Amino acid sequence: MKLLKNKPLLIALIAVILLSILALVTSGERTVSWFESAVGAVAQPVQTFASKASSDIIDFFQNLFNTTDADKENQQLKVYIAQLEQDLAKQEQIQKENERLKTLLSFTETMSTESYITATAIGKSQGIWFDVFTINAGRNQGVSKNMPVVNGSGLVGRVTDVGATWSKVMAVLDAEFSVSVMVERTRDNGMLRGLLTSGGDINNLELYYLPSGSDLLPGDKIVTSGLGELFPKGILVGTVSEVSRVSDSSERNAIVEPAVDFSRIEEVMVVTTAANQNEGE
Amino acid sequence: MIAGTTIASVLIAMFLDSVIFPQLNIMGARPDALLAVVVSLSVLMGSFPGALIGLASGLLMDILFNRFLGISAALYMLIGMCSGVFYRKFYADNYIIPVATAAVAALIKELVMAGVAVISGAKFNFGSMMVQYILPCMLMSAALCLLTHLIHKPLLASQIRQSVGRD
Repeated sequence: MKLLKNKPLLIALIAVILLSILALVTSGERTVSWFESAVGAVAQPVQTFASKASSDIIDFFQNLFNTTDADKENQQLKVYIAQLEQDLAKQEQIQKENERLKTLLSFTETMSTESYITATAIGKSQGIWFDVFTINAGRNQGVSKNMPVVNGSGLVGRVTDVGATWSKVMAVLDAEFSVSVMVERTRDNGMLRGLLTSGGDINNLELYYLPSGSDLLPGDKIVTSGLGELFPKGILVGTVSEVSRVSDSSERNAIVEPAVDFSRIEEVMVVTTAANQNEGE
Repeated sequence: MIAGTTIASVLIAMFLDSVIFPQLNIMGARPDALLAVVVSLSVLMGSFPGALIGLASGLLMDILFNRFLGISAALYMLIGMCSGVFYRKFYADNYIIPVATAAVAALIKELVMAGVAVISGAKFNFGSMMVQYILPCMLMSAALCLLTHLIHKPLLASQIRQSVGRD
C-alpha cells in the first residue's frame, strides 16, 4: 500500500516494466519502426562526422604521447616539429586510407560474382556484452536485413536492423552470431560463433560441430561454407589459434582468431547478391 | 543554459561511448560516460529530471546503437531516479556521493547486462569477467563521474539554485 501512495516510484516501476517488455519484444526478429528510422536518419550525418573526427582525435593523442624528450629540450624546434608531425599524421592517415581502400578493391576482385554497397561504421554499442555497430547505409542505399557484411580482411557480420539511411550490424564476435564454416585445408564443415572474453585485446570465436575425425591444426584458415545460404562461400572468417579436440562432436573444437580487427572497424561492404538470392528462394 | 549543458553533456557522452571508447583499449574495459553524466546531473537536479534525462538518453542509445530497444532506457532511467535521491542531501563540496553512486550504478548496470547476455546465449567465466571487466569498468565510470561532476557543478549548481528559488 505504501508503494501505491508513492506516485513517482510507482510511475518509475511501471515505466521500467514497460521498457523491459519492449526489450523482450524487440529481442526477436522484427522490422525497424518509423520512429527509430527517423531518429537514426537525423542522427546519422552527425554520427558520420563524429566518427570520422574520432580518428583525427585518437591520432592526435597518440602522436602527443609518442613525442620524444627532444621536444622539451628544444623549444625553438617545437613549433616546427609539431608542424612536421601534423603533416606526417595527415600523410599516414591518407596512406592508411589508401591501403584500406586497396584491400577492399582487391577483395571485391576476388569475389567478382557478388555486388556490394560500401559504408562506414559510425558507432558501436556500449560495453562488451553485445557486438553491434551502426553503419551509414540503409534501405535507401539498397541494404536489407540479413545481408552479410565484409571488409578487406574478411567476414565482419550480418545486417540485423535497417533504417532509411542507416543499419545495425551484428558482428561475428557477438555471442548470438553463428555461421556455417569450413576448414580451408581439409574442407571439413563446422559452425562458428562469437565467444565472450574479458581482459586484453583478444576477441575470439569458437569453432564447433566439426567431424570427429577432422584433422585440425593451429594456423588453419576458416572460411564460410556457403551452407545456410546467408553467407557466400569462401569468405575468410579467421585462423585457428588453439585446438581443443573432444570426443563429443557437439563440444568446442577450436578457438579461432577473427581475420578482422574489430577494434578499428572503418569502411565495410554490404554484400547484396547473397541476400537477394535468399529472398528470391 | 541548464538545458543546453544537459544536452551537450549527453551528446558528448554518447560520442565517447559509441565512437571513442570502443577504439581505445584500456585493459579490455570500457568506462560508461553516459552513466557518469546521468549520475552527475541527477545528483545536481533531483530524481525526476534525472529519470527523464536517463530515459531520453538511454532510449536514444538503444535506437542508434543497441540490439534491444528499452534496456538502456530502463537502466539509465532507474540510475537517474536513484541518484537523484541525493539531491540537496550532501555538502556542496562533497564529491564522494556522486562518485560512489556512479560506482554502485555501474556495478549494477554491468551485472544486469551480464544477465541479459547470458539469457541471449552468451557463455563466459563470471569470476574472470568480474575481475577483468566489470570491476575496472566500475572504477573507470566512477573516475569519469568525478571529472564530469567537476565540470557540471560550477556550470549548473548556481543556476539550479536560482531556478528553484524562483519557483
